[in-house]
Amino acid sequence: MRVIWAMARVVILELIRRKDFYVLFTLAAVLTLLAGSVNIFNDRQIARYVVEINYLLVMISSLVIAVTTTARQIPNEFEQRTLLSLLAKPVSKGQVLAGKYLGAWVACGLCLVVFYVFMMLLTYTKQHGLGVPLLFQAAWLHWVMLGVVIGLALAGSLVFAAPSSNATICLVVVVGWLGVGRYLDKLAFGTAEPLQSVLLALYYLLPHLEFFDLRELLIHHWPPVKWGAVAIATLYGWFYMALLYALSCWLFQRKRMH
Amino acid sequence: MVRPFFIMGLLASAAFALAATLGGMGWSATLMTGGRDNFSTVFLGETRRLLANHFFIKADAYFHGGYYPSVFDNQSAYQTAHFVEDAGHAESKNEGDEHDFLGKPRNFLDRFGRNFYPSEHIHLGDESEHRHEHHGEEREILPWMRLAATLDPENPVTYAATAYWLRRMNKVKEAEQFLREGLRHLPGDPQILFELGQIHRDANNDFEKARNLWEAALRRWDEREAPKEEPNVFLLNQILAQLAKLEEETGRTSQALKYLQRLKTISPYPESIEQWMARLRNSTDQNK
Repeated sequence: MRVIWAMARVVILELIRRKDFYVLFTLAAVLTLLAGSVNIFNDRQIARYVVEINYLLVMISSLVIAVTTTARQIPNEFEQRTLLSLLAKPVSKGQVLAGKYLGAWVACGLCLVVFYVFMMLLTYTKQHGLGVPLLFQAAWLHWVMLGVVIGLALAGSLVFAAPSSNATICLVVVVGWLGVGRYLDKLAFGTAEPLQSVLLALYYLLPHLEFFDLRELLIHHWPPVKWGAVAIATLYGWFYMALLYALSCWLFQRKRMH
Repeated sequence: MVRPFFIMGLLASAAFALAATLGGMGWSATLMTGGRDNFSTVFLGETRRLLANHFFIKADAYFHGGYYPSVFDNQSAYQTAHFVEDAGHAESKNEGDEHDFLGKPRNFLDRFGRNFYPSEHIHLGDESEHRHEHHGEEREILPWMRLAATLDPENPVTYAATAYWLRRMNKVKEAEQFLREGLRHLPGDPQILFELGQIHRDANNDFEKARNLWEAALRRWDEREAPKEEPNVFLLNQILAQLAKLEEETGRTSQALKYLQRLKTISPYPESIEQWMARLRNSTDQNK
């Protein structure tokens, strides 16, 4: 575990040193504050559109950070020729991947804390204080979702040659899946075989990322989700994280080191 | 040494050319449209109407606290925006159960997924089982209406419905200003004149001004809507009903009867109009 944590720390430090997060956070904050400063019919209490814009920016920023941070981990090790010397030490391929995975996930979690604290402060200034339990649930499930996305990007980094292509494909898949994943079974019933079976198989097999997106509840001031449902969604997310980690290990084992 | 100056000169020329092109485009567009167009009109063209429609629907989704059908759901109960319908500015084309567009859960994933998005029908401002509404939450639809009006300033429903909700929130001055902005884009529009009349009747208790505005709305309706293949009869219904009610309240029974006579020919409930007329005639006879 010490070895894994040591490698995870390197990934976290790398994110802290890079400018990605600072740029995205500043951009999100400036755009949100600009949107919030608009005078709409002299009503200072209108707040939900600001939360929506902020949530959208947080979602985009977090996905970009998660995917780009993860996508470059393994290719960088190859490029800088540090992977072989790393593996020459008593470190297994599985530990390398676990370290990278954990590091990227924890780093994204730290970013989310900053984003959500900003969101909370913002809504309090607009006299529209978000309920802390729902905000916590939204942030937690968001983090679990990023765990699944990181798993996908990690597996992708062992398949695709360049980090840029991996990042692009991952982002397209994740955004598309967030948009239509929930309705894929409905779409399937309107199509002919064999497409119907393919769509239904995808619906049941791929992770339902919409379980981790509490946007509508957060924006429209709904009560918190039942804690039991949050726990099940967390286990569901962890299951897919484990599955993607296993897939990455299998891909890494088969990958040529030279 | 010469190279940086050369690059700076090139960039300055490019900036000047770009500014001249963009300025020219804006200028010619302004000339073509009589100076009524703004930035969005010049640069977005017809796309702005699509975007305006998107934000209009967004306002309705906000009105439902996020409980709103997507393109994949059954939308039959959401053909007419509910916040416009409640404001009395559109005839409902909605069919089916607005409370249950989701239907029964299709499978275990669908059932579980409903924990994570709104799955109860509400209207902002109403109390519901799971939510405690705060007074004036209807205000949350306003940013999207404002945006819709900016992108498509030629849709009278946007102005009229927004003014209704502003009026409900005791923002009479803002409602009137918004309607006047609408009249600048759509001079003499009967729907906007009608809503303006409502403000003067309900909020300002200025019956005389309300009458003048509604009479102007009626004249404009006859000029603009009557020749159309599918005129907005719903609006005519409202104008005539409000005029008749106003004349009744101010004791001008013969005028009221004149409006009711016309209303009877277009109303979906001619019997109730007939009863109204009979009641008016009776009260006039008793007074004599």
